[in-house]
Amino acid sequence: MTSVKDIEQSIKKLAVESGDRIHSRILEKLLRKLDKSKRQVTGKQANIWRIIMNSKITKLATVAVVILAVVVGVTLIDRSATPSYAIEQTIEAMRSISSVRAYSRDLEVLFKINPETGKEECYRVEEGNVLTVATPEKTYHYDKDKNVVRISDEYVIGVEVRFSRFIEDMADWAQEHNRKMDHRFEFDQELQKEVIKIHIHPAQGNSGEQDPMNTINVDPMTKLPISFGPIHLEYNVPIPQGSFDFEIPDGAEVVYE
Amino acid sequence: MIEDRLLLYRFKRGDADALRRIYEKYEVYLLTVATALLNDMGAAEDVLHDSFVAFAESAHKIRLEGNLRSFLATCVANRCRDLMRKRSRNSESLNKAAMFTCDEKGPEPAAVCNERLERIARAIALLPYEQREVVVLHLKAGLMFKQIAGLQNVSVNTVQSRYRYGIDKLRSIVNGEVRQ
Repeated sequence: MTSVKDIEQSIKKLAVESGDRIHSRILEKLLRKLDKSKRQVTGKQANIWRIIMNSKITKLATVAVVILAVVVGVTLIDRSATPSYAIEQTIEAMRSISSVRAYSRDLEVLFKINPETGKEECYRVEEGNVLTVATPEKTYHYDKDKNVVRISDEYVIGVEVRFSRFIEDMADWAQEHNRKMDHRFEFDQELQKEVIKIHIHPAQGNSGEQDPMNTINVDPMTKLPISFGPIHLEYNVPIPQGSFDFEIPDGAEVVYE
Repeated sequence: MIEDRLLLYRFKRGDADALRRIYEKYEVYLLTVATALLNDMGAAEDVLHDSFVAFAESAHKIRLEGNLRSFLATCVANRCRDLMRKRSRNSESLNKAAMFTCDEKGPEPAAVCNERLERIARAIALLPYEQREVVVLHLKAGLMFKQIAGLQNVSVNTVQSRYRYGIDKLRSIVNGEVRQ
C-alpha cells in the first residue's frame, strides 16, 4: 500500500529532463526578445529606473526583529551546532548600520542607509562604464562610453535587496517557505579566515545543487555578514565627501527623463 | 533568494546573462510543473516557452511581491490553466505520455523509482484539474495554500479541501482502489 506520505514525496521528486533542443530554442528566442526590448526602451530609461523597486521593505521593518528573535530561534536555527552564536546577534548588529559598501569583480555600490528603516537613502553604483548616483531629489545615470547623462527627477530605488537587513528578510523568507537554516564555524579559503556560515537548505524534495548564494559568511567578531556568493560587504564605511554629488561632465549629452 | 533578487535587478536593467541564468536555474523546475499539470511534455515545453518569452518582454512591468521562483511558477500555472480551458472547449485531449525521471543511482533503484513516478503521474492526470493544480503547485512548485487560493480565486479552505481530496484520490488510484 502506498501511503499519502509516499505519494507526497514522489510528487516532490518528479522531474523531467529538458533536452538541448528545447533549451536552445527557448534561450535563443529569449535573448533575442531581450535584445529587441532593450533597443525599444533605450530612450525610456526612466521607465526602467522606476521599476527597480524594493518589494519587501515596509512590511518587515518594525516588527521583524521581535518576531524573529522568538520564532527564528526556535524553529529555524540548529542551535546544537554552535551555541556561541545565534542569528539574532547578526540581526541586532545590522540594526545600527548607516552605510554599506557592496562590491564584486565588476560592481561597486555605496549605500547610505537609514538605520531606522534599513532603507537606502542615497547610493552610488559603479558598474563597468556606467555610474548611477541617486539622491532623494534626483537620480543620475551616466554612460561613460556614450557620454550621455540621463536625469530623473525622483529617487530611483537601487536594488531589491535590503543590504542592511537582508538577514532578517532571508530568515523571514525561510520561515515563510519552511526552509531550514543553520550555521557553523568554518575556515573560509577565499577569505582566509574563520567565519560563521549561515546556510539555507534547499526546499524539501529538491536535492538539486546547493546555491552558493544561499550561504552567507558572517564575521565572528562583529557578527555582520561579510560576503555571499561573489558579493563582499562592508558596513559603516566612511562616505567620502561628494560621493552622492554628480557633476555633469563637459560635453556630455543630457537627457531629462 | 538573494541571488534571485540580484538576478532580477540585473535582468530589469537589460542584462542578458541574468536572464540566461534565471532561465537555466528554473527551466527544469518549471518544465516539471507544467508537465505534471498538463501531462503532455510537448504542451509543457510550449507553456514554458510562452511564459519565459512573456517574462522577457515584460521585464519593465514586473513587480515582485514574493520570490521569483513562485512568480514564475504562477505564470506557468496560469498558462497551463488557459491551455486546459482552451483544449477543453475544443474537445482536445492533453493526455499524451509525460516522461518523468528519477535521480536514483543504479539501474535497479532507478527503474523502480521511474515506475513509481510513472504510476503517480498517470494518477495525477486523472484528477480533476482544480485538484491537480493544487496538489502539483503545493508539492512540486512549493507554493503555499494561500498563494494557490489567490491563483484559483477561491478561499484557502477550498484549496485545502481540494488538496485533501486530491491526495486521497491519488492514494486510491495508486493503490488500485479506484478504477482508472
